[in-house]
Amino acid sequence: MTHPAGLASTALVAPQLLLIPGLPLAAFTILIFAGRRLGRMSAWVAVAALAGAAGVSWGLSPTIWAGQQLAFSWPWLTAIDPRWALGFAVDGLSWVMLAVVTSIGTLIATYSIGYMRADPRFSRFFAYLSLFCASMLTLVLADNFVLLYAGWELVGLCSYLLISFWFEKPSAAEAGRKAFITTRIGDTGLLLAILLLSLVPGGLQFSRLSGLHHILPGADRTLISLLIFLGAAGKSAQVPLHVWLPDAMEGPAPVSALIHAATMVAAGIYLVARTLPLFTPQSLHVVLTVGLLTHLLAGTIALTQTDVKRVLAYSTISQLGLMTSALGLGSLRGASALAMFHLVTHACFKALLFLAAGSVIHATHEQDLSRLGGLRRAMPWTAALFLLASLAMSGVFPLSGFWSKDAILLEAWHVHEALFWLLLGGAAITAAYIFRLYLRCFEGPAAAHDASHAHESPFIMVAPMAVLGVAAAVIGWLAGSPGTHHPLLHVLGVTERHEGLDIPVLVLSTLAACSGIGLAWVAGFHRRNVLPAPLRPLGHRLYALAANKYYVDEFYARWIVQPFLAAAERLAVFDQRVIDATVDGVGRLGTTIGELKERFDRLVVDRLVNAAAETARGLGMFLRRLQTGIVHQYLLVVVVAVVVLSLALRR
Amino acid sequence: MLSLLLACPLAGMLLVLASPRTAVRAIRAIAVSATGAAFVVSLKLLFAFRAAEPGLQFVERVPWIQPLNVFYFLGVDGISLPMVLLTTLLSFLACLASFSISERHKEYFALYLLLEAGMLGTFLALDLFLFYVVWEIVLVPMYFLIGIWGGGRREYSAFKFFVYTLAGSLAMLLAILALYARARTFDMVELSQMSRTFELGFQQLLFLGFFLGFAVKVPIFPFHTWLPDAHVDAPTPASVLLAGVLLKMGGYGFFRIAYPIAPDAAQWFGWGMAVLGMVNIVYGAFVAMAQTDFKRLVAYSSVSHMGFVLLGLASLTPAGLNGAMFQMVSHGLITGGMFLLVGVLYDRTHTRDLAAFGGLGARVPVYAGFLTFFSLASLGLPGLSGFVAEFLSLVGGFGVWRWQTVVSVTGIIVAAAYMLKVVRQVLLGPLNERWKALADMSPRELASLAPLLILVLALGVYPLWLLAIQDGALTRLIIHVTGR
Repeated sequence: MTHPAGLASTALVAPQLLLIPGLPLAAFTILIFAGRRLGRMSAWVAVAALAGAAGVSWGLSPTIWAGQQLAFSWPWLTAIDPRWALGFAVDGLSWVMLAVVTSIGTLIATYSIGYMRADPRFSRFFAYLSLFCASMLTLVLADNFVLLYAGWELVGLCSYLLISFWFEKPSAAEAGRKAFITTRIGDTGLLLAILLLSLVPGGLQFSRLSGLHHILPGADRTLISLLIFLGAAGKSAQVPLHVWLPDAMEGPAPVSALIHAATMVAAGIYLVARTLPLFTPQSLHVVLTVGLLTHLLAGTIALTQTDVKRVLAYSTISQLGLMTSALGLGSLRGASALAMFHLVTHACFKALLFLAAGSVIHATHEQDLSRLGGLRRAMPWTAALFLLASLAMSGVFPLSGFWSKDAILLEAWHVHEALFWLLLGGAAITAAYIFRLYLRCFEGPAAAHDASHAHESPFIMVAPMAVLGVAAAVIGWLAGSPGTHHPLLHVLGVTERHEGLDIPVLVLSTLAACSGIGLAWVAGFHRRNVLPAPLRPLGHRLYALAANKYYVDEFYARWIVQPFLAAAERLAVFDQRVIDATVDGVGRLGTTIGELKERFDRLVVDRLVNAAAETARGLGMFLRRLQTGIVHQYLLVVVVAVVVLSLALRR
Repeated sequence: MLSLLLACPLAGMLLVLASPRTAVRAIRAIAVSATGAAFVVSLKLLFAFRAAEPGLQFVERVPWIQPLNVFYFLGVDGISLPMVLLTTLLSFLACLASFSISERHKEYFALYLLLEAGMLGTFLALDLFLFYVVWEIVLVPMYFLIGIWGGGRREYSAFKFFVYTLAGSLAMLLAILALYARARTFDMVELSQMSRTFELGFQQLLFLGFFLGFAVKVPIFPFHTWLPDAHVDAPTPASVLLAGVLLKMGGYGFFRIAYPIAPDAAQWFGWGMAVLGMVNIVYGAFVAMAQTDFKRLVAYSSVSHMGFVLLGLASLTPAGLNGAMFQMVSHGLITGGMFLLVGVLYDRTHTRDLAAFGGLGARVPVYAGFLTFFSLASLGLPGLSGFVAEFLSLVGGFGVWRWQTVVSVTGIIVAAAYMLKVVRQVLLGPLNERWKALADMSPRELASLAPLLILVLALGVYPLWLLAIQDGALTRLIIHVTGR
């Protein structure tokens, strides 16, 4: 039986693991050098590499399901310390990630062939996409913190490159930079945690983490785990580091689907799941609080946004918050498995939502909700798949989101009832915002300008969406329902799992979903204010607060970015006016002293010591000539002195 | 073998001096072959070097000024060999970049080759007297390269560079004389062997003297302000060597002289060195953030990056020292590449004002690729050499100087901010109409940058081969200094 968050040291040696990130990396290398010559073929290079990686990953499943682990390692900094070997390892947890990344990656790369068809940097897009997958797979396969950190930073780089892919747009260029720097703030937390762990023997090896609580005192583990969580929060866009993800929507839609919904942003969840043995009750408390806060705040913002992709972005933040809450629930074995289960189902329906949104944008060149509507007739496939994914996300029985969300709700109920009610509220909000989005895009009268020439997307885009649709519908039932005996939880190492459905929870969550959908129908679609009159001013104020994203961006601009830039400016001025001026001042002092000395020679020495004047004068002239400020004369003196000295002493 | 290495640039210099002034092509050919030959010899050195032996190799020791006990004493070990290779490589590549020099070729290349000989001498010398002589020789050609072929306030900058460094060297000279008065020898090996007999007070004075000499070169805050001025006004190849090699002479001095000869003082000053490293990293990064001139920004980023050398050194741990050495090589490659890239742009646009560019990514994709690559290397992206160096320095520093290292880590965030600012301002955004006819990199420019790119990548992915060279000598140094 594998342990959910610890790699055993007895594992099968499996060099084929190198192929998993190796194939996309090879695709990247080919595309970066020969991309332009390959032209449209370059897309297929990327797709083939990803499909190959997916094949290898799925090929590992019999071994993994049998409870075995696979590993492969090589020397890196071993000259300094044998600890610094790097390696790959696969257990249930990383295998699940591998399967998600490679499978969804292949589908999205295929979709991109259609979506990016007319782009002048077509092959470059697929090069970056391949590099992203290679980095993400390295992150997942890493059996130690150092290699994970390398992959972690590299996915950040690819995210940067792909957000800024249309870099002629200033907003895209800005968004990429914001994403990189914001996540890097979190990354320093992870780096500090790694530095702390490097002082502990074996501390950097994931397989040894569960043994660390014998060595490390609780306070140290709290600190380390909170630092790790800071890194996770940056990557997974948790409050207060969530601000980069909505802006990241400047990237092409497939990028949003793959990186900013299904995989990279889930890396934070994976990291916490992987390092869960380090977390103490205190740090799990922080995790839970941050997760809940993110889940609810982002959900309410999503209710108010008018840009299709931004609604989805806040929805992603909110769902990641739900996974973080699940991790924070803290039942060591169950927690990470539940979060991972929701990660898997979310990857399917959210990737589908983004691809469908991309299909809409592709067809209408419009992503403002107020100018969309009635697209269902022109785009039946897209509309149907979007609806399916929305139902799945709302947690409607028996679609995938139902199973993963209910598992978390049930767990919350066992931990504390208040948590359950909060999460149930979050579920209602989820249903409300996603149906507001669906209804306003696809139902109702066609918006004036686009419906006439809107058209269904080509087969190459619809087919991957359809596959994801099937997954979004059934994967919850296949992977985590009593009917199939929870195979996913099993592979993640959770053994005790009560069978059968919990009927009250089922009823309540279905009610929550229905009320959310109803709210979306009344308030979101028909724009009717459901609040009683006395509450309306308050409602307006709350709405404005959420619509302005709680002013977090403004707060950061005012209190962090501006002071930072001002500090940089001030230090630069200090450098110029104080430090450099001191240097110049010392130089000038030297000249002044020289001049004073000369004047002294002329006025005092000359007049007083008339008799010795001639000698003094000669000497003074000589000294003065030395102080000409002409450097090669100084040097001449040095060189002559060296030569004379050496000759003189040689005798 | 080592004398042969020194002879390559010197012979080249003599040949250049003997050529007629107008034979520009011949002069260039001589310079390229001389620097190329030096590079080949240094490669042979690398292959003949036995990494398993931590001691000095290829030693040459001939009496020079016998009454003073001065020797012509050369040798390399794992500390100097990487520096020698860095010098010959960058000299060769910057020589290719020197083709854009348009006046007084003969003087230029003669001085250039003299500079290379001086730099190599600094890394090879094992006699303090000889070391001091070559150390000072380096100043002369660099002074003229900046003062004659530079731009802007070149006389001011060249003079400032010269006087500043000379002032630092005077402190070093005092330390050398004090050592001689005490031990009657200039032999670094002997001196380090008898270092344990020097009492702490004497060692502290020695260390301070050497420190001032090296601190100006590294440069360590607050002795750094000559650097941005010198860089801004220096011609591109001089900038490359200044950042790539001359700064390393300061760092190397700590490894070769200050630490071995004043080991107890080195430990005593460890706290201060760590604080200075932290200040360099954070202060340099902040000031870089505020720059609007491309070259000044890169110059301040050097201040920041050299802080990692100090931090690693101060830790006196295997990881820290390896990181510090690795950073010297890595920073030489990365910043050398950065200055070459600034030069490529400046040759075409005659401006270094970051705000004057914009959107070049669409116009010059190859250049954009190179600039993005070196920016990422500079901000410490894993997989590239800078990450290995900074990571090791931080790991080493963290175990010993906890809060200095924690503060230093914030420098990494700022590094991302200023490097991405460069990328954003130069490459991204809408194309500035002024540059719509800008030409992409020429084959010669590619040839001077591609080797650096490959090395930065190779060292980042597989750092082991450089570590294997330097580790033996560094372990010996740690044992010598700490006595453990």
